[in-house]
Amino acid sequence: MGGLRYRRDRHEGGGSHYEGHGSRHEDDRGKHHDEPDKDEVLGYFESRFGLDPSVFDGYVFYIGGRGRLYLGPSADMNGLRVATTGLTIARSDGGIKPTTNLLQCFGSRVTKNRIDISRADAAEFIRGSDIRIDPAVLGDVSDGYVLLVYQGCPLGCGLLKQDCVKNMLPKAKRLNLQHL
Amino acid sequence: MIPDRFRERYSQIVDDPDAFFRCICQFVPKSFRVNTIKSDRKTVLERFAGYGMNIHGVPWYEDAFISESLEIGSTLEHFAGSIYIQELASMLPPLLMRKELEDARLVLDGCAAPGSKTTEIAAFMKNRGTIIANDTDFDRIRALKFNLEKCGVLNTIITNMDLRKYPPREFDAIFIDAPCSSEGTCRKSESLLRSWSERFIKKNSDTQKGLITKGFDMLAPDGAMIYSTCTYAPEENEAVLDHLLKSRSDARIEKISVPGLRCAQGITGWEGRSFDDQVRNAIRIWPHMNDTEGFFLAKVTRWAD
Repeated sequence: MGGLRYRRDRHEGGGSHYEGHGSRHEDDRGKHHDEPDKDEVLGYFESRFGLDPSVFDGYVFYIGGRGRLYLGPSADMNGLRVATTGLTIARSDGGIKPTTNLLQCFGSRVTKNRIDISRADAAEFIRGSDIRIDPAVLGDVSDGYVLLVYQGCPLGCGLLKQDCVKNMLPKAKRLNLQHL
Repeated sequence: MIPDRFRERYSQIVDDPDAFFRCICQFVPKSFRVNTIKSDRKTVLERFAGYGMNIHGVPWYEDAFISESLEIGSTLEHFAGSIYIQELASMLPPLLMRKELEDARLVLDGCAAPGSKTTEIAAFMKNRGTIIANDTDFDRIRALKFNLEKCGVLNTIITNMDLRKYPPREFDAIFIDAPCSSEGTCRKSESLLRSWSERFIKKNSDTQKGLITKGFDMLAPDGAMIYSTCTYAPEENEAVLDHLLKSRSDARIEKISVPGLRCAQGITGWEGRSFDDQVRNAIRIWPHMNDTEGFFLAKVTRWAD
């Protein structure tokens, strides 16, 4: 349980750091990964998805193990055995990967690189399949991570390469829906 | 098959034994709650009407619904976390603290997994303030985290500790939905009555007394705590409250009610033992009263100096 890296980065007012003592993070049991840099991640969200950093106001960024960045509440965690904090919003593994949970949560504020898809494609995506997109509907959308939307409902994260969206939904979230 | 001793015990305290024993042999209706962090009931109802699903509300909570279709788990709204499939009675602990949660800064959900209550608490707090969601069982933390993230809950820290050993803190609101013999859930889990035993009830009671006392000790002077179980056993309900009242002289059981919900008072005696009169202020939700599972709830505060 020792040797844990668990740090928090306050979004407002900038830069207070917290080194947790005795807190355990469930994601800290893996091998070493690069830590994400908060400003780099915020800059990425803004440039890639048009997410203004102010949408995160009032919350605190936590940097966990295995390159994960969390968004959560402010709290005194001294003496607590912490399993996890708030929402996992990104992973850093050679690059920044936004999570489906982030894009579902803030999807209504995403203004760039979102793709509206048909009912049939939404069903396929939620089932876990990759989907093809008609290049004519892509407009300004560029290769890289995208938010897929069906009838205003943010579905999750995909990875666009040319006209194919690779499915990035976590396996545990995939469902065979009857009603959508 | 209802065990004879189970029938004997609860015939003594339920208002209508025939209705009760008949009801617990029937399945509980499928129900859900609109997750107001991600959606609203107008949107959800319109979508469900579009699916041709017959949904109806309950008189005591505007965001709770019963579905006649069993397919609510295969809707877009379930996938997206716009609804949370949850038994109606288990929505009551946060509902009873709705007003307090609006302004609460620090809240403890002491026995949180799998997160039904925590997600509802977060919705009442509008995703602000801080919830510490604790569960002693590490294996259940994964489900808790999954459900919180699915519902878009941002204001929660999950801890994995024995609540009785929690470091000193002062919370504005505390929820102790104590591990119990779960008799009240037998409508969805038939096997529960097959393995039912009084020995298990007595074993739970000791743990529950430790949890409620620890919870009370972490309550801010103006704070409030909900103690709840999904069991009928007085040993796990009124006897636990009585233990708290005897061991903490400033503990008080507040009178509670939920408009539109039928319920019974706490009982002041059980098998030759009498309890403090204040336990009457707790409520017992018998399943036949509202077509739910069984539940027990009490609101605990401190007497003002």
